[in-house]
Amino acid sequence: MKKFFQILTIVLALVAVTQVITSSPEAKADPHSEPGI
Amino acid sequence: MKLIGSINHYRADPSGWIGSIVMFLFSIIAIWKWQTTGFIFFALLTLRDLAATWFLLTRNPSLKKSKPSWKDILAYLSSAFPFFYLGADTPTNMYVMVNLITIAGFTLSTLALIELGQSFGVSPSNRGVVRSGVYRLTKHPMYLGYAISEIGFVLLNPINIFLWITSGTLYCFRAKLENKVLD
Repeated sequence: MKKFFQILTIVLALVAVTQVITSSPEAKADPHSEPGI
Repeated sequence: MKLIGSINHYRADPSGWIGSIVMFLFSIIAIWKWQTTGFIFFALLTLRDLAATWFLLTRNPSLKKSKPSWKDILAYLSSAFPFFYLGADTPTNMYVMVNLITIAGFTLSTLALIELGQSFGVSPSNRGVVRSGVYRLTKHPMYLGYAISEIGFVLLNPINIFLWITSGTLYCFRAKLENKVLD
């Protein structure tokens, strides 16, 4: 279970970083759609 | 069967079950936040909460634990702190930096929680000292990860600095209590 969660965390972190770097400028900030984080 | 056995084996740990339910509720909030804000780092927070849900169900019995008190409530409040931060008032040009800092912090925290595994608990208790994985780098990698990730929230909205100071104080307090129990 530990190994499973570790792999999932690394994969998710890599996907998140890739998504942030490659996302379009319009999608980068839309603070008015949601008042809080 | 082994899966069910590992849960039932520790059914004498009611605080583990309660903690597990609380962390599962946190994971639902994290999914909701992820969907409504679009910030992908909430996916990591969801994973943290689901891993915590599992490890609280299957954790080792405590060797030494402080009596249930307001400290437990503070510990859970501190765990929920990432949900309290305010969003940006104006479009931020630091989107990439904010996200990368927050992702880095939550990755460290989640890896620390997973490394603790069956020794994990929200309130301070001794279920065996862990010195492997990210715990080789620092004594409290989970709190360090949260502090790093929450810097991203401060960059997003400077008002969040007050929440960051409060949150940081709570992490220091929890670290101090843990040191006391583990020594």
